[in-house]
Amino acid sequence: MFVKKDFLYILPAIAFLLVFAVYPTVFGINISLRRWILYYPQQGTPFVGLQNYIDIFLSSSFQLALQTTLKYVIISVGLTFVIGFAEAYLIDKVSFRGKEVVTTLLILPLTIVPVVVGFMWRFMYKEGFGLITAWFLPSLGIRVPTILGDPVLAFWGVLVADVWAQSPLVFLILTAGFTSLPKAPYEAAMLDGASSWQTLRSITLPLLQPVILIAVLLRTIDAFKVFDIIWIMTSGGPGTATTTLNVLGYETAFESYNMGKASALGIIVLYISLALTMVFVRVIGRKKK
Amino acid sequence: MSTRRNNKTSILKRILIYGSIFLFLIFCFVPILWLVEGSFKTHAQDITIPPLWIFPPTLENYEAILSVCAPYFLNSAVISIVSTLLSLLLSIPAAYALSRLSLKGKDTIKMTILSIRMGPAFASIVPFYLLMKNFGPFRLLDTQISLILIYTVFNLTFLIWLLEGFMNEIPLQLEEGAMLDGCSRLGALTRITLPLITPGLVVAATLCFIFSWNEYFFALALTREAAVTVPLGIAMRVSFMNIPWEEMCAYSTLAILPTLLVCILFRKYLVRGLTFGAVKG
Repeated sequence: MFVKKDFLYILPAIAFLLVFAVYPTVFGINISLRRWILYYPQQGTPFVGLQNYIDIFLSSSFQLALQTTLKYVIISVGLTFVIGFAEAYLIDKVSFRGKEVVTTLLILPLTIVPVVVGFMWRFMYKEGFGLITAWFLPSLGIRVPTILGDPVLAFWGVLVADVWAQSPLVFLILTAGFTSLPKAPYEAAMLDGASSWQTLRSITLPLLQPVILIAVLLRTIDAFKVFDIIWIMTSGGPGTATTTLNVLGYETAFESYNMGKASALGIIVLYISLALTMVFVRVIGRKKK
Repeated sequence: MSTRRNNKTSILKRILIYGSIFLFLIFCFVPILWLVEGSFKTHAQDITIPPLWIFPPTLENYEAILSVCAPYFLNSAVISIVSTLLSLLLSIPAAYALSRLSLKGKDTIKMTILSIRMGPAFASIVPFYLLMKNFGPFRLLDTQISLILIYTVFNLTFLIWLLEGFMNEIPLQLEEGAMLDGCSRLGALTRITLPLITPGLVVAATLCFIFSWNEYFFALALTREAAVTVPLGIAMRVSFMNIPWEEMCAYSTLAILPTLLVCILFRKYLVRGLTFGAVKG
């Protein structure tokens, strides 16, 4: 009896999303099928079918950006996971006064505005007086003239900043996981004289598996979207060393003003994210059962 | 977890554990300390190697930066607060409908909503940019409105997911009791359910505020001068050839202050919000 009235509750939100999210997406598909360059309004916006998509797949800049993105996602997710897991594991093992404070300090990087993260690391990498290039590395006996100006090191420089900012997310999620672990299996393992490595491998990891999956998936979805840090630190350079798909998309849209091609690129990346999101939803669903 | 800890853990092992934690702490904290300290130094002190950790602080950088960048903070505050309020207004009834009421295709609606949130910003930036350029008779580029609208899209979808989870935890009987006593549906929502999920609302609203405060990509594409936000203001200055490091440190410190405070206050609830309710802290 409520059915019609009930719909009113969700209607405003749906209407808002239809206008400002669904319509732009459909419009985006339309744009992606056209030759639409803002610099040349006199050329109009002729329909060109899948030409933009074909151009993208055949272009070396796309292939290069895809490779950079994949490399970036895999290494970033891997490193943030290892660090976050190690932090959560160690913190769970100890109890001391002020543990709350330590936990909070370990999470802080996560809340720093991404643009500031980029600036902060650029400052630390600065040749001549940066904390890392001018003080930390030389005191280890390592001398590098430049980090962000070097095609190989720039990639790693950006990655370290990203790992610094994002590993707290893994730490936060896994700490929640560790706290909710049951105690009984550990008591049994202790009676059997299991080593801590055995306990970790055959009890902790299997029990934590659902939480680990969630952490890894969220990180993967995030890593695919990374833009702010890269744009502030290197703007995709030097050359194309740090040009990920998002950077390439931004340049296509707002430096070349090629809206058709940028939209097509956007749709391609959207599909990759959608696939990842579906997996995420499956995992949440399985956990609830 | 003292019950899980082996009492015979050797001293060496404990040194190793505490030593590693200490190293992680340094890794996490020193960059922030360096930034905040840098904001209280003069230019000469900022570029001194080996770094100065103790020095007489100066407030000059803050004075210099606030005289120029105050409008950015105002823009960011207005955009973040209005977008958060608008998102709450739209998402509370929507989450309630998904949690309580008889709707067809609930799962499809939820899935669509989530994929809007998870999708890359850059898939929607081009059409949104063109939409804002000519929104009917309005030109919305470089206005606070354009950013409020797009941030509400992302915040709204996030809130619906999160709040539905909080509402699912409130027993239905409480509302049914109130409705038997003559309370309307809307009354049951506003008088029974909402007060019970207040902590959830606070956390959700806070995370929306952080998202809007931190966002850079849309701000970069949609604004030029009038509606420049805090992150964009930083980026604009960092791209200069001669970066005024000490002033930028002051600016950055002010920029991270709100989110830093929030993180410290609500740490316990963060994990639930950041995982869309999938992990409970």
